[in-house]
Amino acid sequence: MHVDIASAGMASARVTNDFRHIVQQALAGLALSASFGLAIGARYGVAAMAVHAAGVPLGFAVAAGLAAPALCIGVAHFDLPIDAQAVARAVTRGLWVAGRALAGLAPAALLLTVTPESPVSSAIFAALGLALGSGLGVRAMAQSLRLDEGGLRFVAVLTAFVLLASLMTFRVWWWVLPMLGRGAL
Amino acid sequence: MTYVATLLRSPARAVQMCFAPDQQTSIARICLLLIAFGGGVFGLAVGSFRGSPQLFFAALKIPAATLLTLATAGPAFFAIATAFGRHWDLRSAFAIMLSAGARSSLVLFALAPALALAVDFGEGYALVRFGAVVAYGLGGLSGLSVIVAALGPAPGRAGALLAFAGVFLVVGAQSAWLLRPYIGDPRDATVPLFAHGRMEGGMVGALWSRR
Repeated sequence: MHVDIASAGMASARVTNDFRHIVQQALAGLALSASFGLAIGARYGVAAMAVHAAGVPLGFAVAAGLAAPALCIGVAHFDLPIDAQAVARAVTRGLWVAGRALAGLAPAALLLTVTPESPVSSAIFAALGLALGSGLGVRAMAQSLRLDEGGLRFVAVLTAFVLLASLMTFRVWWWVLPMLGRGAL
Repeated sequence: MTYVATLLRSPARAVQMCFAPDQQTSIARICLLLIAFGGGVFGLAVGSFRGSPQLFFAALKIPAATLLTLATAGPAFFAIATAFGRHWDLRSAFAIMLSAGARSSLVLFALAPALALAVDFGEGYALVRFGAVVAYGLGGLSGLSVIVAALGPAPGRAGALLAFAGVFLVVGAQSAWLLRPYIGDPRDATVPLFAHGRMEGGMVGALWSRR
């Protein structure tokens, strides 16, 4: 009995640590992606920098927060051998990689959005950067879920998730990032 | 001198040297000198179309464009490489980037006499501009071979290369466009140091123009 309580306590601590790690990694990824927002907002001044710095991570947060539960349901519905915790780990890994990639792209984004003559060119460069960073995040997430071992049903579920998450992210960015929304076009 | 020969003959060996912490400082120094020298000589050839002082402006601006490209694309290279499972340290990634820039500047140096000869034969502005763009493209391809060697045969090489080449191409073109003019527009009585504020349809518009 004593052993059972001890092992239950250890398991609980492990879950807590895992949860903490997931949250920390997700927050770190979102914070890093804000640097890209700062860079693309620089063309329109300090206030726009702040808006874009908040808007870029917001797009990721909304997509992860709303589409990840859908992915968990899809995975469970088709009885795929992946648990919700693995999905959460994979999504946060994707956020982390996307955030780090966007932070690396931020200097290039600053050059490519501040210096063009046309605001449309700036918006295109910003969108391409966001697409590249997001794509790298999706790739990392798929690798983390071992896409190649999941079979066709898993590929279908994951494709649906990526489509849903991409559309939601794009919609949020369209709403909250003046550079990409109607302000630029 | 050994590193210059290695960089030209064997990009893979040069990349190995970039990962050695005790060699990174000297590699960076050599590469910066090569970028300044190779780009400077190419700038002299390009600027010879309009003569002095454009000659010297172009000699300063070509290396500056290369360094601006490396400074802005370097962090992207590091981030993309890391995303594709190449867990290098930042110093090594920058040493590789500088080596790529140095290799491309050496190619520009090699192509400078051909461009100078075209100017000397009295070729028009459009042809000289096209020649300069081709030379820049060839230099970029040569530099890219260092990046290919650095990425190695591990999975994800094609994806990483594609992502980085896309970023590098756009950043390089924008940096070059930002610091224009290099040759000097024939319409200008006096060539300005920078063409800021002039609406030319961006870098694509400037290249496509038939003037």
